Amino acid sequence: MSQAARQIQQESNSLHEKEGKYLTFSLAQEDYGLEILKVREIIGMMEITAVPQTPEYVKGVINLRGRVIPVIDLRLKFGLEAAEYGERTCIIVVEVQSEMGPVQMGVVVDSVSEVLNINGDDIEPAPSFGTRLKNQFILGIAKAKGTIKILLDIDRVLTSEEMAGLEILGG
Amino acid sequence: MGWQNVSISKKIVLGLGLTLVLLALLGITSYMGVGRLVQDAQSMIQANKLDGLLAQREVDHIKWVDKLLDYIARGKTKKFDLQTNDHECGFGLWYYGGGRKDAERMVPDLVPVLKEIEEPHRLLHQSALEISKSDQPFEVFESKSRPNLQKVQALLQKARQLTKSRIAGEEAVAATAVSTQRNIMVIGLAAMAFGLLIAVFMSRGVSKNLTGITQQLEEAAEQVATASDQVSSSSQSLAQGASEQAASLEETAASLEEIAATVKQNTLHAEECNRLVILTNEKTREVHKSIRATKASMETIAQSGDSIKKIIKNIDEIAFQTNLLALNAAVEAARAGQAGAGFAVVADEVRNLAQRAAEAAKTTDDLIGETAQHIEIGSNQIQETLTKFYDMGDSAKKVNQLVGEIASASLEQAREIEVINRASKEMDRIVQQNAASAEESASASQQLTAQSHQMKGIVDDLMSMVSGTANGKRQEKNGRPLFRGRMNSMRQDLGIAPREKNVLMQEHPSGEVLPEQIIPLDGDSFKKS
Amino acid sequence: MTDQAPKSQELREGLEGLALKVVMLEEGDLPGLGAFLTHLEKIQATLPADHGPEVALLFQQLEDVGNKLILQEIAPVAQAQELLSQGVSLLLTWARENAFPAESEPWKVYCRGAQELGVVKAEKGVPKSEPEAEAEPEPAAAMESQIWEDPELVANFIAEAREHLEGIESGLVHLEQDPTDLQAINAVFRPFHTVKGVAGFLNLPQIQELSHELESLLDEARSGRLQITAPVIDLILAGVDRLKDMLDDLQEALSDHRPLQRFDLQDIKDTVKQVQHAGAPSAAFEPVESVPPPEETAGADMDQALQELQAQEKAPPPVETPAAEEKAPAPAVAQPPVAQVKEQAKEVKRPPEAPAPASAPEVKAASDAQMPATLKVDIAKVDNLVNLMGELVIAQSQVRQNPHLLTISDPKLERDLAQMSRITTELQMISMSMRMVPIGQTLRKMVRLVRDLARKSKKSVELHLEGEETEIDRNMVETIYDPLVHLVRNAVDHGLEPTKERQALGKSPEGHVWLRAYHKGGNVVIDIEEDGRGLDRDRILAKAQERGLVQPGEQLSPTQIDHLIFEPGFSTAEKITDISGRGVGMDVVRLTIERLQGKIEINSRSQEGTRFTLRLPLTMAIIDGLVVKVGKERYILPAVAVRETLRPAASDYFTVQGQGEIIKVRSQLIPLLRLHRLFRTGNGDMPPTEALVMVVEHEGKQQGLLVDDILGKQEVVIKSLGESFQKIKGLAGGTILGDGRVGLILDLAGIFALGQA
Repeated sequence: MSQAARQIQQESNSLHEKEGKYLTFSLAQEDYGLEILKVREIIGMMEITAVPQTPEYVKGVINLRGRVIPVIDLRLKFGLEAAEYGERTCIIVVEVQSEMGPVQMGVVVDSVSEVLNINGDDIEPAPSFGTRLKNQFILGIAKAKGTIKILLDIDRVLTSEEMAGLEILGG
Repeated sequence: MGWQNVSISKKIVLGLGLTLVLLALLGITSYMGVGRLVQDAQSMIQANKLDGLLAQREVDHIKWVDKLLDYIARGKTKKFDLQTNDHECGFGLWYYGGGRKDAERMVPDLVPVLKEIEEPHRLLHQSALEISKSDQPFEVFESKSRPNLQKVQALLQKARQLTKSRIAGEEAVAATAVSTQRNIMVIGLAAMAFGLLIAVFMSRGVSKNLTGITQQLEEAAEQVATASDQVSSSSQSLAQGASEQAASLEETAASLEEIAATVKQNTLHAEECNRLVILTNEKTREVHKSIRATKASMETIAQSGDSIKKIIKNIDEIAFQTNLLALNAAVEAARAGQAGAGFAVVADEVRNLAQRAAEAAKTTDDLIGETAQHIEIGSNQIQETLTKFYDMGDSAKKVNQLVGEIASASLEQAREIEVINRASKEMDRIVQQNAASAEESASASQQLTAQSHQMKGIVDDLMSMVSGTANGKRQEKNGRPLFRGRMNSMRQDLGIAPREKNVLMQEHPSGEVLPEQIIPLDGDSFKKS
Repeated sequence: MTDQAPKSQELREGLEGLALKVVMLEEGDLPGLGAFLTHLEKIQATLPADHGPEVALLFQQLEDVGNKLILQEIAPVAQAQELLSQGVSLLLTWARENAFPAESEPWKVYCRGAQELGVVKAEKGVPKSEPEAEAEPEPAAAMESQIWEDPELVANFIAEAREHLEGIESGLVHLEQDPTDLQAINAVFRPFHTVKGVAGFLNLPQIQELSHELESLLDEARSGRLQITAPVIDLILAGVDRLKDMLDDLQEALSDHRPLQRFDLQDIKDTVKQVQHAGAPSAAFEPVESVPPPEETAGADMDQALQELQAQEKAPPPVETPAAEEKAPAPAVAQPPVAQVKEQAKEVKRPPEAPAPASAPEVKAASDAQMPATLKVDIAKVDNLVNLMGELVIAQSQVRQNPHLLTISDPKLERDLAQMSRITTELQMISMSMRMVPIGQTLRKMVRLVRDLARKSKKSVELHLEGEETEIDRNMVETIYDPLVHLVRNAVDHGLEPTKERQALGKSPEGHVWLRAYHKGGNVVIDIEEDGRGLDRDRILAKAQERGLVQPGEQLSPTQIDHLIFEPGFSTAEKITDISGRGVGMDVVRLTIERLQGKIEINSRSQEGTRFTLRLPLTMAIIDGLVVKVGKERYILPAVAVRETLRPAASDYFTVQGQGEIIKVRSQLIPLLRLHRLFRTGNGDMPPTEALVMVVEHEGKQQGLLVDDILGKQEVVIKSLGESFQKIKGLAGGTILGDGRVGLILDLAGIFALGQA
């Protein structure tokens, strides 16, 4: 399937179709959700080898059981203030669809919360007013357990033009 | 005034002397006169004896010459036994022995004669020898023996005459006895006259001197009496003062005793204090030790807290990892779809447990943190306490030191006081002695007064002995004012206030002090003495 | 033949193994059947040369039955299996007694059974299946979803089919030169058959259909009814191209989960019919004839046979095991489930000796009886294995460096650890070598290319391949393909003169192109040589001056002039043909080779020819690297590039206003690059006199790189940083260092470029 087709398909999906399990995590006191099927695994913080000539939010690469995968700091990616990595800081390894096929990437988040089942009824479209995040990064806003979770479209977050830019920059 | 000035004893000695000289002259004249008589008598005896001796010797020699002639005559057939040595013959023995000297002493005129005799005598005796030896004995006799015999006989004749001249003065002896009788008579008479004269002179001079001296003696006795009165009274006051002094000294000594006692007590207290301070120090050390022990155990608690913290961190870490595992399991379960639903529940449970563990760990950690904080505070306080303790220890040490110093100072003080005490006792003793001496001198001065009065009586007696009437006039002449003025000036010189006389007078109101007693001696004689 | 006895011993053992497999066979036991066929093939390879015709027939029939069983083309399965066991026991008797019991009862029983199953007329089964295939599209469509149910199987099929097609291509090229070579025909025919069979099994009707068409065409030729002519070859090649397209489509469909495209096969079918009718009026043929065709090839030219044999080798029955994973519970088979394993006659290693499936007496096949068994393994698994081996080595070094462990002085522990490290090192080496593949496959791809080029440019070209067995890293094979194509194209298009010109020059009319691969000094060297006109240095120089690459009057050595063609955008072709002059230029060739840590050299003589020499490291996976410290980061420099390491004296260090820093190394001035600044590691710059300068060389230029320290030298496994970082200048990749962290490997070309920027 082509990227375009996938996009069309996604856009045609009603919010109800977004219901399912999400991995929630927090980032600067805000809760976010990631589609569980995008998540490969969650690992604790480990030493990251910085890669020169990359944007600031690209923290570098890590050794994930013999594989070298890039790591993105989501705070920096979202333009939030950088934070010290602590005990609760985690790397969520996600598998995103890039133009070159599935790619595993690490995403640094403040802490990982839980796996939540979110009902379609609880999902609302992303508000149109400006948030820190570009609207296209957001699948929707979910209410769960009394808080608001921002459901991220991690494919877009990690394969957006910025990432392309990273390549240009690197190239 | 030559005689006048000669002392009584000299006048007496001179008068008696002169008399004795006359007596001696008398005696000497008598002795000598008798002596001469005796001498004359003895010389006559001896000269008779010598005359005899000499006459013998003359005979001897005539006999010897007879023998010699006989010898010659017999022609030497007979043994020769004549004395040929001049020294061995009778005459030679007398001549060369003492006889000649006694004779020469008795009759000095014999000396030349005797001298002359020696040569012929020797030649005589020699001629004998020569005859014996010579063949012509006679001629030798005629030439030698004879002349010499004649010369010796002549000389012996002359010596006899001289001796007989000595015996010849009996009429001169009688004349000497008569002149001796007369001289004794004259000298006796002169000595009697002279003695009488000297006696008159002497009695006159002695009585005159004695009178003057006695008068002066009287005056002096009076003055002595007065002075002794004064001495007596001041001795008394001295005695009194001394006893007063002794009393106050005793008081001082008593106070000193007290001080000494106090100081001793002080010393004891200081020592006690020192002991207590040392005790306190020990206690402090113990307290210090226990504080330190407390501190150490608090530190141990803190360390244990740290260990617990580490363990809790571990637990927390495990919980975190478990949480991650559970999340990963949940992810896997979600991937497995419906088949993983059950597993998802389990994973959720595990996650819950992990979270509870994490929370519990956190709570515990907080508690431990609080504990640690309290321990920290406690530790600090203990530290502070310790610091203060150290300060206290310093002060205690200082106190200890000071108390020690006080104690030693007290001891020193006590020693000093002891010394003072001894000194005061010595002083007391001396003052007592002083007082006694003053008493003694007071009584002595009273005695003196009494004796001066007695002396005055004796002087009066003497006066009356010297001359019974001269007393009254002399009293009129030497008035009181004169005396008094003198006394005053004298007092002033001694630094005694004049008014004290009254005191003295009042203090001695007894009739012992008579007005006469304080009348001084005649000013002139005062001056003279 | 001197070692007859051991051979027969071996043969007997092999047959006993075969018998065991037959006994174990169950209905639908595809892995078992696959194993059986593989084993059979292996035995055939060890067959003594003097076996009788019955034996050959027996082998042929057994294989046929086995194939048919897999393809489910044979009716009562039980009976077929019975037949197999009878055949095998016959073979055993033969092997024991050293004489075929042609008159015995079992043989007769077997022949009867074979007849009943229609195996005797084996070849008849092929045309018979035709209508089946034709008829299949309908059910296939219904079962389309089946493809996706086992994508792994399909992916395997694609890879295998492509391999077969490549074999077909190179076989065809030879066939073209000797159209009568039956061996060659067979070598081309068999792959088609295999592809057809598996495609049928996998419900790929179109592929099955097309391969069937081509197979039948070749069958005609095999039976001598059809003359192999150039148009026939072209037709087949067109068919092969179409099949390749279909495979591409299949692969795409597989990854994108979309339905297959439909291809129009009518044109090919028509042509096939046409050709069949034209070349062979009579479609009937005797199957019996075709069974022992190899015998007819007895007098074939040796050289030809060589090529054919190679091609034929490709033919061995495809491994049909894939099906097993889907269907078979495979209880009785002692084979691991992983077994997409085909014991494969190693085609390249010993192509000359490989015997024809049916006995070829003159080929001394017996001499390589111990053909090593090989496995075909999913490359991803090998990669994974290599990765894990790297991990294992790292984990081991971490264990060994554990401070607690260091305090223990136990001789036994020491020994055990040493033993472990020896084993792991060996394991790593072995796992590395597993990625090594013979280069022959790549070289053979050039055969068709040369043919096509020659035809298009109307030149007569002979391609000589040498050292096909040379092993090279699998990853590298793919990468060097494009540069090789380019170089071959250039050689044919530009290097070789047209025939007439050659003749005029007194050269042989046909041009020669040599592709040689060999190992030399720890490198793989590939020569591309032609005997053409050589490089025209005057023109190169003129062009370079025109482009401003060379200043007029600049004196260049011939080699330097030759190397100018590697400059970007440099092309000397006067007219752009559709062969050369498009796509990559020589600069890209060079870049690609250098990216592989390799080098390219030119050796050219006017009118005599040109030789391009590619020097490549044995493997891309491991490089010898120096671990350097820059700030808190560690980087790895390829050790080969490092000339020397020094700490410059203050007197040897200069700054040039606006030009940067320079150090003097033995009277040579070398520009200094600070890696701190280049990579903005954000650490304070050290004065060069306190740091280390590593003098590195790249493309003949030297640069000094300023680093803090050298931490050691070690062989590191290169790992991709992933697509995101693919294009970062100065980084060639990453690796896992001893402490488990990722270290970045420096790319000198990129660093030099950065340094000049």
